[in-house]
Amino acid sequence: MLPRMVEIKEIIEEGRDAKTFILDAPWLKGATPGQFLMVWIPEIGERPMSLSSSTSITVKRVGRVTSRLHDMKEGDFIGIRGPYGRGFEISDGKSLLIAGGMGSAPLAFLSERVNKFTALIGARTKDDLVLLRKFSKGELLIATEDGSEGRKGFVTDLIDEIEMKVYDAIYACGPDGMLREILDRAKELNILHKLQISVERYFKCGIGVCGSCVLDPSGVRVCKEGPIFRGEEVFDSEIGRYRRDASGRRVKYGNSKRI
Amino acid sequence: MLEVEVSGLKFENPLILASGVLGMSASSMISAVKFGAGGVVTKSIGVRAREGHPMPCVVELPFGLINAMGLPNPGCEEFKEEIKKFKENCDAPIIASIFGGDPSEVREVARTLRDADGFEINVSCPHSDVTKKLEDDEEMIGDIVREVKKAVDSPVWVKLSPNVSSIVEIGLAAQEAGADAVVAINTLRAMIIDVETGVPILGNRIGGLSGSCIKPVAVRCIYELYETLEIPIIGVGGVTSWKDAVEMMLAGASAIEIGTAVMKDVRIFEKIKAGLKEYLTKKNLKIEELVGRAHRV
Repeated sequence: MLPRMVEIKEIIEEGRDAKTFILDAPWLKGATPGQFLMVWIPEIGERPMSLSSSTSITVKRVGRVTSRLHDMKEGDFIGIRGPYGRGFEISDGKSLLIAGGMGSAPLAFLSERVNKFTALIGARTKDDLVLLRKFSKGELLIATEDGSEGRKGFVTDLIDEIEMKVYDAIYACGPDGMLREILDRAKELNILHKLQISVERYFKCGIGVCGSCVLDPSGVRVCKEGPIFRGEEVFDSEIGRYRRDASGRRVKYGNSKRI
Repeated sequence: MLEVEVSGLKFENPLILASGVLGMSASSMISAVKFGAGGVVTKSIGVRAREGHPMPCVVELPFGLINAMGLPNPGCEEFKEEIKKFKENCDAPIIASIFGGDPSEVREVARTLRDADGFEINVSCPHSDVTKKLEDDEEMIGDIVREVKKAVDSPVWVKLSPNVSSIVEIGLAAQEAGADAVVAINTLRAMIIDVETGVPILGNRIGGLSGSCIKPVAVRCIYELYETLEIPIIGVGGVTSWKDAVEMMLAGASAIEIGTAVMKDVRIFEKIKAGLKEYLTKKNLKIEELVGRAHRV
C-alpha cells in the first residue's frame, strides 16, 4: 500500500518529550493492539511506530523524524501505511501487562481490550511515564529508576511484588534487557506459553522483504511474523544479547560495541 | 525430478532466493531453504558497511514494488561469518552477491567471501551511486569479471540490468570476460510521487521496480540472451507462480530466482515446486528439456 496522507486531529502532551498524535484515519479501527504503522513525513523520512490506540501513536522525540513530528500542529498531515504485523492475541482471563519506557504505547492500546489486568509500568523518571491514565482501570504498579514515582528501580523489580504465574496471559514491551529478564523468569516458572512480547528491531521496509529485522537463529521477520511473539518462539533468540544495526552489523545489547 | 546443475553448481530444485530479499543473515537464508528454496543469493555485499538510502525505502504497488534500499550491508569482513554459519547448517548452495566501484574492490569482496559456493556480481542495482554507472559499461564489467575470476575458483555469475540499450551486448561482454552464467534481470529504474504533497516518496527519489509487472520484460530479456549466449542464464523478475517459472525456463532460464514474491508468502518455493512437478509429469518432460524450449518455434 502507498502512504496515505492523514490529518493530525489532536495532540496530547505526555510528560517530557513524548506526545500522542490522534489521527483522522477511521480505517484503522480494525487494527489489533501490537500492530504498527510506517509513518512518513514528506522530505524528512519514515519510521515504524506502534499504535497506542486504534487511531493514535505515542512518540518520544529522539531523532530527526520524531523531532519533526513533535514540531507539527493539529491540522497538519502525515503519511501512514499499515497497520502492519501480527498483533497481540487477546486473553479473556486475568492479564499482566509489563511496560518499560515507551513500551507503554502498545500496552495502552491492549489495555482497552483486556478485562482484568495488572499493569507494571517502569520508566527512567516520573516525567518519562506515559499514558498512565490508560492503565488506571486495572491494578497499577509503578517503578522509576530515580525513585521519583513508585518503587525505585526497574520495572522488572515489580515482578517480585506480584505472583506471575496466577495470570492467564502476560504481555510485555520494552527494551531488550527487560524482555530477556521476563523471558528467563517465565521459563523458570514454565509459563513461556502464556507470555507475548513486542520486539523492536531495525525496520527498513516494514513488509517483510528487506530482511533487516530478522531474528537469529530462527530467521523470523519481526515486521511480518512479529512484532508480537510468543515466549517459546523467541526464548532462544538473540533478544537481550545483540541486534543488527541499519547496515546489518551485529551490535551487542547494552552498549554500542560491535560483536 | 527438479534437480538442476548450473555452471557446475547442483541445486535440489531450480528455485533460488534472489539477492536483496532477506539474505542479510544466515538465519533468514536458512529459513528460505527450509521453505523450499534450492539455493540462496545473499544481500549484495561490499568492502565496507553501508546503511543504505534514507527511508522510505519501499513503496508497495498493486502490481509490484519499488525499492531504494541502497545496498545496505555489514561489509564483507563481518559477512564472512554469516556465510560460514549458513554452510555449517545447510547443504544448499549459497551464492554471494558482491559489488564494488571498481574491479579491485569487487575482487577484494570475492576473496574475503571465498567460502561461498559461487558469486553473483551486481553491476545493475539501478539506484545505487556505486553500481548505476557500471550497468552499461561493457569494458568495466569485463574487467570486473576477469579480476573476480582470477581471485576465486568457484563459478561467477553476472547480474544484468534491463536499463540498457542492449542487454545482449552486456551479456556478451560478461561471457567473453569468462563469466560462468548471467542473471537476468535486475529491477527497472522507477519512481513514484505522492500527488497530495507533490513529494517523491522514496528517500532516494529513484528506485527499482520489481514484482509481477516486470515479468514480461524479464522473459523478453532472457529470450534474447538465450539466442546469442552460450553460458547459462538464471531468470529473475516477477516470478510469483509455477507458470511464471515455467515461462522463464521456456524462454531460456536454467534456474529461477525469486525475490519480491517471498514478501507475501515465504512458502512460495514449495508452491512453485509442486506446480512445476505437476507440469513436468503432465507434459512428460525432464526439467532440462524445458530450458529454451520456446526457441524451437
